[in-house]
Amino acid sequence: MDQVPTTYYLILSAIIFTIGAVGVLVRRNMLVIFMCVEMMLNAVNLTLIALALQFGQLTGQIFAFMVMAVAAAEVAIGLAIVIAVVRHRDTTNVDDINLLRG
Amino acid sequence: MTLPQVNFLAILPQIIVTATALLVLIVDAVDRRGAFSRRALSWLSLIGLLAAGAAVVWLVMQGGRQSFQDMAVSDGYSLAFSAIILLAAAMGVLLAKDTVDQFTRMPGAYYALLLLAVVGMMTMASATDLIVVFLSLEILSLALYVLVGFNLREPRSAEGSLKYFLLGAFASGFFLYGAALLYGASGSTNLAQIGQAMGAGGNEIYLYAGTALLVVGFGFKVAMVPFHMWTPDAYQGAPTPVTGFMSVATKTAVFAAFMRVFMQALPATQETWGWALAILAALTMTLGNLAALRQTSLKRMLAYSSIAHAGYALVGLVPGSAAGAVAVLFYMLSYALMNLGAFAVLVALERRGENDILRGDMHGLSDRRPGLAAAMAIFMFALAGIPPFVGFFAKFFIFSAAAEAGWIGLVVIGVINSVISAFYYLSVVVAMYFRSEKEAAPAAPVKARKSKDKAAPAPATPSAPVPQAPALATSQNAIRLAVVLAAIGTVAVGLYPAPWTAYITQAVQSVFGG
Amino acid sequence: MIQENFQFVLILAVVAFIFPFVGVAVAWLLRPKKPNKLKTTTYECGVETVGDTWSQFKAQYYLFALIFVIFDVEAVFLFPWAVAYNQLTLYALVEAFVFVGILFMGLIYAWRVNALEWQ
Repeated sequence: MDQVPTTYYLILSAIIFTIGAVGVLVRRNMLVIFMCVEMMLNAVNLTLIALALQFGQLTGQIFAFMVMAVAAAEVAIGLAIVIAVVRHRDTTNVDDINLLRG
Repeated sequence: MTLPQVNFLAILPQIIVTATALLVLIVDAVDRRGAFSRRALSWLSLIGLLAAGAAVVWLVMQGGRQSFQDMAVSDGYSLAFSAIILLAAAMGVLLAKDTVDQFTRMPGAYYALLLLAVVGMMTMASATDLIVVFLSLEILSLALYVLVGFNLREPRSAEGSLKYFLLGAFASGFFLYGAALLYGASGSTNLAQIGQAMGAGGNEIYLYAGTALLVVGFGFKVAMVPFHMWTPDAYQGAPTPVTGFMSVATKTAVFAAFMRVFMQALPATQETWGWALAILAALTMTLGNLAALRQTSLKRMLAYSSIAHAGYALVGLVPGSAAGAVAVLFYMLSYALMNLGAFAVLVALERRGENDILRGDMHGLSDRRPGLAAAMAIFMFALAGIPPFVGFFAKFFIFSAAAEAGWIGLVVIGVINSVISAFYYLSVVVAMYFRSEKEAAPAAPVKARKSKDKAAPAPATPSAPVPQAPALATSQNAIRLAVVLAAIGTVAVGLYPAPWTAYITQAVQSVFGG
Repeated sequence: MIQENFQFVLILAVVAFIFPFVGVAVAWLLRPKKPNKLKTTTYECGVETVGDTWSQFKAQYYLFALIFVIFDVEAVFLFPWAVAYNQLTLYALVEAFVFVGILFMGLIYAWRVNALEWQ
């Protein structure tokens, strides 16, 4: 049986990446923005693994492992920061986070 | 199965700093309430940084290029950047030594995170593989996100941290996608191999898209306009020692990787990215300086000024030449000295429990604290690029490298910007020397604002108890030492730039040729 | 060819879509119809819920989640190491211990600053 061509994976991951990037720009809830960022990272993982498959190498897969670990650390720190902000402001809407201006 | 050759000597400074960070954490964890750790932690961190500095010097004397499995190297280029980063970190520790209790109850975590950020930065300077560039970028960013939000009592700190985090994570995504596309174009993540594959002609769409995405990713981290929105907020919200450290060390590390990636892996598209960076550099300088003009908070002014300085440094990257790289490295050294000096003065002046200094607070400083005022004047002159201080030569090298490559228009924009920047730097000097304290009226509204924030009940959180400012006056010896060291450096390197430029030129040419 | 692969997906999708309707329709045809009030209420297993289901988790819950996530992802790196264990040298064993050791120090710190206490 033939494999799905790499291009399909790349197009799919480009679409997912774009959805994530647009989501970061248009959504107003911190946690949703945060999830959109994670979506971008996972789109990149898909790209890396598809390319690794095409090249017949492990490099891309190792890169994807690293991205997963980093994404987990980012989740942990991001949630901690969100908690710190909510304790002060009691909101998760980024439009309400406006002490610093100018 | 044979394991790949690894040379741990190549990452010796990173290993030392990592070990120090872990040691600091453990000492802090074991001795939670003890008076011992309060004092010992900063000394321990300083000793670790000095040991890493000694390792850097030793590696320089060994000469040559030691490689950690082609993923990271220690060569003259990475070691020079590492030295600047270690200098900035040592200043960050000195500035926090007497003030850390004012913004946190967890000094161990502060020092450990600062050291881990240093590990990320040094690794970034020595990375020769996109995977390592990404990992080190994240190590330093994650540590800095937390450091910016370290003051749990101050809502601005958390807010700056949140903005930095959301935009930083967004930028990481772009950087990562760019790296993935370059991997797709070349079949390798090694910078030299990407360069070879691209020289032989690769997939152009991947190549150009990847380059553009990398520019966005790096641009966010060095605070390049239009990706600079987080900078003023994060810099103003962060505890001042953190601001000083991150403004210098992050730029140094990211520029190191920025130059290595673009000059080693992407010379094939130099003409394209040269133009793109030239436009971004012009925008960055202009917007940074214009926005800095109308700031009353000195921290925010220095934040916009750091955006402008990122623009100047970017000019050195535009031609993609070894001369440009030399200029950028020298710029980072001089920026480290003068900017950390300026932040050290701010730390020395900050009132207990406050996190900012207004221009009005500087009025009559020459009468109250003549030494500090003189040092601040030196740093402001240097930042404005007035000879004989170090900032002048830094700008001179940058602009001459760009002019040599034919970017005359960009140099003109840069010089005009230097003149604009002189306005706001010199206004600080004017405030210190030619205004009396009574004219310090503008400070009032902000003090009201601060007290309003304090009136709001500080949410008592069980996991991280909120520290009340200790009543005892702390000594300022460490801060004074930092100010003096930075001032000496600013003047000395300004008066005798030759030995520094000679070493830097040699270091850069060993990597990029020319 | 690629289309042939997707034919299976299409067939599966169609079958999966029809299947529940067929089940419900057959049951509707065969079953006796004698409704009473209790029979027509929505099926709930266990105790009936009280209040809104969109309640917020406590912040402490997140603290545990944060620590869990870090140690959870460490397994990503240990898994390939464990799979290739028989082919590795002593050097790799030491490396893995260094890796786990660094994470362990993080755990010690979390424990000492009382991040593991439920408060």
